[in-house]
Amino acid sequence: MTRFASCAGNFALLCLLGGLAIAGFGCGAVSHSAQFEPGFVPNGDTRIEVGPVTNETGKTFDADLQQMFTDALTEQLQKQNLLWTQGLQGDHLIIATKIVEYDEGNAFKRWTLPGWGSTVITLHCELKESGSGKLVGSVEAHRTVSFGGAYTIGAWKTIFGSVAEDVVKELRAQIPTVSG
Amino acid sequence: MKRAAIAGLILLSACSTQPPEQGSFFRTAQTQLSVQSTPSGNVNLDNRYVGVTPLSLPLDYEQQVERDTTNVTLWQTQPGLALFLTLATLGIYLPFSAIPAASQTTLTPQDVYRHNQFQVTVDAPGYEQWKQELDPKGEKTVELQAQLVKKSEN
Repeated sequence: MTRFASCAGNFALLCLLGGLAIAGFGCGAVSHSAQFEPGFVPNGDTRIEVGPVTNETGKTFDADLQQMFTDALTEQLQKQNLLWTQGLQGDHLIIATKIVEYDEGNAFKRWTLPGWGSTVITLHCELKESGSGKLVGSVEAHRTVSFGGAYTIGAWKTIFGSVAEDVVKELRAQIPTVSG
Repeated sequence: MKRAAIAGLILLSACSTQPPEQGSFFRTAQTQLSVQSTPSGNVNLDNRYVGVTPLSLPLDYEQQVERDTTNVTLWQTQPGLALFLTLATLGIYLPFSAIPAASQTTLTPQDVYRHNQFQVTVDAPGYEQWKQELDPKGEKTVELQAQLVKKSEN
């Protein structure tokens, strides 16, 4: 009986640890990719202007998705020193974004059952040359927060920053860094 | 224990039967148009002056893209993390890993286009107007050679 109680106690502890590991590990799927025209070779001083962001989900939301992504993308481009601002000379690229999928999800549901109440966002971004209007590339990014603990509360908002970082990572990989 | 197992099975079956979510949107498609003529003439695109031949300009229109979102397990999206959780929980996570806890979205361009009707005209003094209708469907480039015919003397 004592041995049984000890085994049950260990099992309960493992379950608790497992549950904590799963619940505390807020995560989901991340995927992003970019396609650029074969002849497109950006130089180190290429800058990017944040163009229109449109909601193509077919749904309406209380939150201003377009403004949230505009702000997040501006911040990430600024961090990478890729942001074009009024007054800078020369041609630059303009990035237009379509939010094609968004679900704000629910942190309590995520905690109750992984996959339920996921926060989801999918974007399709298009890059055009400012002077010629030529389409030079596109970036697609998808992110979910599918399960996790209480700290995934607010993921509906923070996911914009994460997905903007994904987009800028793809752009940074194409545009060489100027040293000095 | 039995009750927990039954509850787990119910949860698993409920998750795995979730149908994939579909939708669509239109992305920008572009075809590079180049127009040449002899002699040189003024080019109008949809009654809007765009330049003098020879010239090259992008035509913007829209292509439909199908969006499919399916619920998948972590083994499909992040196998490393699934393995880590399985090891970290001494195998307890393994049966729960069958729950589709993540989603995967695929974007597939379709052969459906909109706003892809264009009219190109070339006008040169002393020549009849040359006109061409275009409906590009994803071509990289379209080259037009305007055949200008002299106006009759009558």
